[in-house]
Amino acid sequence: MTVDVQKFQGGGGWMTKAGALGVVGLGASLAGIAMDTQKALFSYLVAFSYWAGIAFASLILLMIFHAFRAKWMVVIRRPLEVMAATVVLFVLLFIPIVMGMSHLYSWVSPAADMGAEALKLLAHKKPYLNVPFFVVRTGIYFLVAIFLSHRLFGWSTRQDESGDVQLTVRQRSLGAGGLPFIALVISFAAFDWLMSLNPLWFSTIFGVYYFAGSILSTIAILIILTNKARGKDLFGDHVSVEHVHNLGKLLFAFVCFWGYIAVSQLLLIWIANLPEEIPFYVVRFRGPWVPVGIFLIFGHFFIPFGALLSRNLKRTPKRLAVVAGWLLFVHFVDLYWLVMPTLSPDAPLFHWTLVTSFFGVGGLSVAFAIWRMRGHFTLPVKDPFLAVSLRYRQP
Amino acid sequence: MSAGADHGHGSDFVPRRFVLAQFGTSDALLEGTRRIREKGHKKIDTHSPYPIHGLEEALGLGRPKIPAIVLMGAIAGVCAAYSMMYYMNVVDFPINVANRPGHSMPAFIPITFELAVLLGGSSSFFGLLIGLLGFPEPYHPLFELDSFKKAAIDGFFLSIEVPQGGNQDGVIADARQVGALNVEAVEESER
Amino acid sequence: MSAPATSPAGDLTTDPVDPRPFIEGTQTDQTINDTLLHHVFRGAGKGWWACFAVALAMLGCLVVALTVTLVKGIGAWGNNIPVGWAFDIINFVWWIGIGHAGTLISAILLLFQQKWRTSINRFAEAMTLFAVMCALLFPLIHTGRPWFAAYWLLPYPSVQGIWPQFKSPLVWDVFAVSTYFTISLLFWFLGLIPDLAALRDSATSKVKRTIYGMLAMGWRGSGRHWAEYKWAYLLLAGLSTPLVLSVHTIVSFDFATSVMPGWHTTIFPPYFVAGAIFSGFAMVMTWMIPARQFLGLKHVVTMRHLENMNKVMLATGMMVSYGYIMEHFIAWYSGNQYEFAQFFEVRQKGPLAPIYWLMIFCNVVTPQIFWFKRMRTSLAVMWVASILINVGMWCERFVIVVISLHRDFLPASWGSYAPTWVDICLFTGTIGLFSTLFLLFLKFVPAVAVTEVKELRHETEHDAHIEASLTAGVTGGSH
Repeated sequence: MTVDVQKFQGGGGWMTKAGALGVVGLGASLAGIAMDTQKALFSYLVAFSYWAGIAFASLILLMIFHAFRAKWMVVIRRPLEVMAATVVLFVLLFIPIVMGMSHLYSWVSPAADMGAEALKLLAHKKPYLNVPFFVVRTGIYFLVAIFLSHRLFGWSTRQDESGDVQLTVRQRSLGAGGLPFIALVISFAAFDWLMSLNPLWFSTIFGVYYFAGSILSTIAILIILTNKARGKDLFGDHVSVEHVHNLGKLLFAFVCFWGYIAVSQLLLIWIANLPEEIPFYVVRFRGPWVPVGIFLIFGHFFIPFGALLSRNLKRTPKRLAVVAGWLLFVHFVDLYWLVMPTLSPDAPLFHWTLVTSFFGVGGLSVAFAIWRMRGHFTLPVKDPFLAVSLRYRQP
Repeated sequence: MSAGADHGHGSDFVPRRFVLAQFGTSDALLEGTRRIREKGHKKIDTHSPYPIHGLEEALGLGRPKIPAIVLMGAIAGVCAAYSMMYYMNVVDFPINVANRPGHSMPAFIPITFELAVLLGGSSSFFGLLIGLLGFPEPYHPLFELDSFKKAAIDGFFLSIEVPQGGNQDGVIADARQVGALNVEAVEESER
Repeated sequence: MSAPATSPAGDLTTDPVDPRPFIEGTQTDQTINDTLLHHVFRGAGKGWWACFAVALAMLGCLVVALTVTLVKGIGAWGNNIPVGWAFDIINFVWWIGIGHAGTLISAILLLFQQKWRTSINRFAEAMTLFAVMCALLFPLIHTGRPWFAAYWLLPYPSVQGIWPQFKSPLVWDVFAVSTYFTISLLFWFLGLIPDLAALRDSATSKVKRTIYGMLAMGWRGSGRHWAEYKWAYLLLAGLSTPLVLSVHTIVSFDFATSVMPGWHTTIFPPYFVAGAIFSGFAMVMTWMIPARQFLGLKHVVTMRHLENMNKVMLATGMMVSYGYIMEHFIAWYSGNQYEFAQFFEVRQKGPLAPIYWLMIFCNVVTPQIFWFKRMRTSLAVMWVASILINVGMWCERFVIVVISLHRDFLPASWGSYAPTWVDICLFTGTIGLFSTLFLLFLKFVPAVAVTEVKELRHETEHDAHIEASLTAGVTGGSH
């Protein structure tokens, strides 16, 4: 059995377009930060945590696949590796957040009008919530993720040349062994980047919530990619409806998982009604923010859940891609709903930099991913399980 | 497929007749099934110790009915649970507990979910066994054949019901033609 | 340049990384049938009777303790305010958690298309049923007068006109656990039907043939039946998966919806689920290692199966550890002095601290040995580890229930706790109940899903045939 592909050299047009969009968007966002610092920074944080979350979740999904020794997914593994490898880019994209920390995070320099009790709590949290440690921690998160994604991508592409089975063994070992570390990384990243926006609020499940939404978006992107990446040297031509069906099932599973985590957090905080926890939901489920919350309940759970119940839809790549695209949009709304009420508790706030940041960060990520892809095969051509994967059928 | 319920006892009893053909491998069975269907036999069935990939196509079956039954069961569970809780805790006898509203949506989620699963799962089990398969069906003419015991252990069989007034020998000849190793005939006994 | 992408191993059926098969030796449907059904038809051996005697003796403890509890009331137990929940709830949560492994193996691994599950699922599903029975006993008797309990637990139109209070997690529990038991029973029985038919047609005596025949309900391996059956089974698996997660989630709500330090934390639902699977797999291992020896199942429950089980224990053990890390971190981060005191003072240094440290040792340290292949493949090591994990998970529930309760907000209301002999007898007794039922199961029902193992063997063989024809050049190279 042979797969007739060559090393990928195309995508130049897309890379240029995405890169240009990214540079323009990012430039506009930076201009926005100069004009309206706080609103633009919060918008930027939404976009950053959206795309960075997808990069981290891609790495985690890749590692889960390795840990499970999944064979069916070999044909769609390379794009996942590339998406994980974009994590390097986010080191640079994190700079605006470090520069603007004092505008984002109220714990950087607590205002005296927060009240004595709040100030006392912030003093207690000072050993954790302080600028140097925050930066060092984010550095550690990136180091771990870069190390893991670099090794996995490197071993995988090296196997394209040598076909060495030992490289598969190594990828699987690192995939399984690295999971505890990357799980802590994404959890604490969620605590630092998002949860500490409300420094008095806390939820032990918050890291899992961020992970659930991000991995959902990763799967959605994979689905859209398998649809679009067809043509010369592209992996999409080798993906069958059986693989797409499996991706659809994964998407369905993670829609349920997100719903489960979201309900767990909401129900426990709502029912206990403790003054230190409930403000998070009081802001979001009272007053003008209600429509956004209701939209998320239906848009992020009930609608995709109902749609994905259909086996027919999961086996129709084009229609599945529509659901995937919808989920990518809703995840952005979800992060917006997590971040923005801190800045504007009284009413939903739309700032134009939300759009420019989304396309700025996103365009650069996409361009970077295509650049990393070029010069490699778009599927692991000498993976010992590629043949099994190509011939995969639903049981 | 269906049990002999529509055959009354007494003088008007017309026994059903079956031809049972044994095949050596699962592939031979699939091939034989396909070919016997092409010969125009309608009431055919296969018997194997485990499901064989491609059986549905060989038998010419449509889409399974069970998913729709389960979905209806689950929806019935959701409606039953939510309306039960709403009626009991909001309409009929509201109790103020920790000043939570009578209609507490988050608190109603768990039981709504559980009853959806309970009714969905039960409709899968009972809908299959009683509704679609017509179980319990302790008697079937095929059980009278000793060789049929292998159907649950390691044999691959094809059974063809001979139509009323049809030619049994012709069916046997057809079964031999499509590659059966061993062909037997059996007639329903009156109970 | 072009890349000829070939599979270096050449054929698809042997795994170049791990070539060990899931069914060892040369088997046919007939030999699988005979070896897997053998222990059902064989007379009970001395070993079985010895185990059964011990189990019955422990079951006797249950009868005594139950009688004392019902005659004297729950005052016979050691719990008293502030420790209002103790052995009853610990054992309830422990048992129901053990049950979860069965559903996980049969349903979730089915959905994940993990073929190795076929050798262990029947065994684990039976374990689920018996564990849930043991679990159900505790909430029932902890109501004191269980014959009245139905009035406020079930939506029963009583003369007072009062309905159950659906905002209480304890009522959710009633629905969750009873649904769980029902669906597990249906799922188990549905999977068993083809095997019962095989038992019916392999039986030598008329009595056995009649009994197994009635249970098989007329199953004749019909292709039309299989077509619907496969879907019904898959859908039940699909429903069981969220169900099993929901059950321990709702058990965790029993604690987490309160405002007790150590109980109220949002990570509880997924962390309880992980812990349940962790302890359930450990219990499966504890029984599986001796059973495969004595029932002659080594060719279908291979070292590769056991190794996979150990990996699942490692994974779920890490999730439990993740839960501990999050709890401890937020206990400090929240700045809530009661949470902090609970996690860093009472649990670690309080009078019951040894149980906390035993929990950490068993649940966090013990599974780490499974990172090493040598440990994962040593029967003695994994058996001891599985018992330690069972102990550790029992300790975890003790820590959550008793240690949290005996030191709450007000030092004036602090108390202490010690179980009475009735408590200990009840716990021992449920182990006896579980063992008795399990030994009976091993005696009368095939411990391995015969049909599914045959199907797996058939698929493997079939793939090998296709592969042989492909490599022989019958069909062309491209796909």
